[in-house]
Amino acid sequence: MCPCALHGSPPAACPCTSVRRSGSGELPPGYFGARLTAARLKLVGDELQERTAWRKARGGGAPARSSLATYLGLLCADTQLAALAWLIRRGGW
Amino acid sequence: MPGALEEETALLLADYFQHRLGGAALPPSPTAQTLRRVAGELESRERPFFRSACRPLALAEPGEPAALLARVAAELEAEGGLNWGRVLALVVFAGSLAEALVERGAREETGRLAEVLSTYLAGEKREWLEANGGWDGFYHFFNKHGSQPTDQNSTISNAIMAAAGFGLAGLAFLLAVR
Repeated sequence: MCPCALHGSPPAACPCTSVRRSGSGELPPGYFGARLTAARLKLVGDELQERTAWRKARGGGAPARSSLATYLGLLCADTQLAALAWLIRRGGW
Repeated sequence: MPGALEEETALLLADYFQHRLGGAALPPSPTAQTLRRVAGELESRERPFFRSACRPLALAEPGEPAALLARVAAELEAEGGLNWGRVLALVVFAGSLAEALVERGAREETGRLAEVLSTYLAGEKREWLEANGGWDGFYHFFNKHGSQPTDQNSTISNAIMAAAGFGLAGLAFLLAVR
């Protein structure tokens, strides 16, 4: 298994493209050297970094949405209380 | 305090290794819990790679896995420098290597791995770690909205909404009774 490919074909700079593979398509035993492993860890790490940063950037609007929902809820409650008070006064209670 | 970062790093890595090797102890801090969680997610997603990379290394001569881990760590920052994603990938790699060593019956080698990783992060990469907020920076980076106060705000607003809801229900009940 190529250590560079994440979810598709390996990148152009993948060292595996210049390495003769064994008949089964697997890398020869013991081929995983420090550079190859580090190359794959970089890809995995950078992908995780980008995904987490993107998710956090998207999630940044969540507190604002939460406050808006709170204000709308309180507005709704106030409206109902006002309607109740009006009904009480109208009924002569 | 010069030793605090080293101590925290060693503690976090020891907890993560213990967790990977079957230790059932509770995480000692929220950061350790975050490390366990995000590392577990990454390991499950990239399991074929971590297994195929670590199994042959576990068969190497004593001392060789730790030396290779040090070389991988040095290579990791070659292009683009460090980021929290790369640090996490390195920690998961070290954990997978420790797991493979234990499967081979070389548990004594795992201590050396944790030591190498700790020295690399808290020693060689100390400046980077400090510039990125230390392990608190790691915690904030991998947690939703980055901090706990947001969760507290959310709890307060939920409590306000619940109180308003109960008040309304009570008033409606009183009105219905009269």
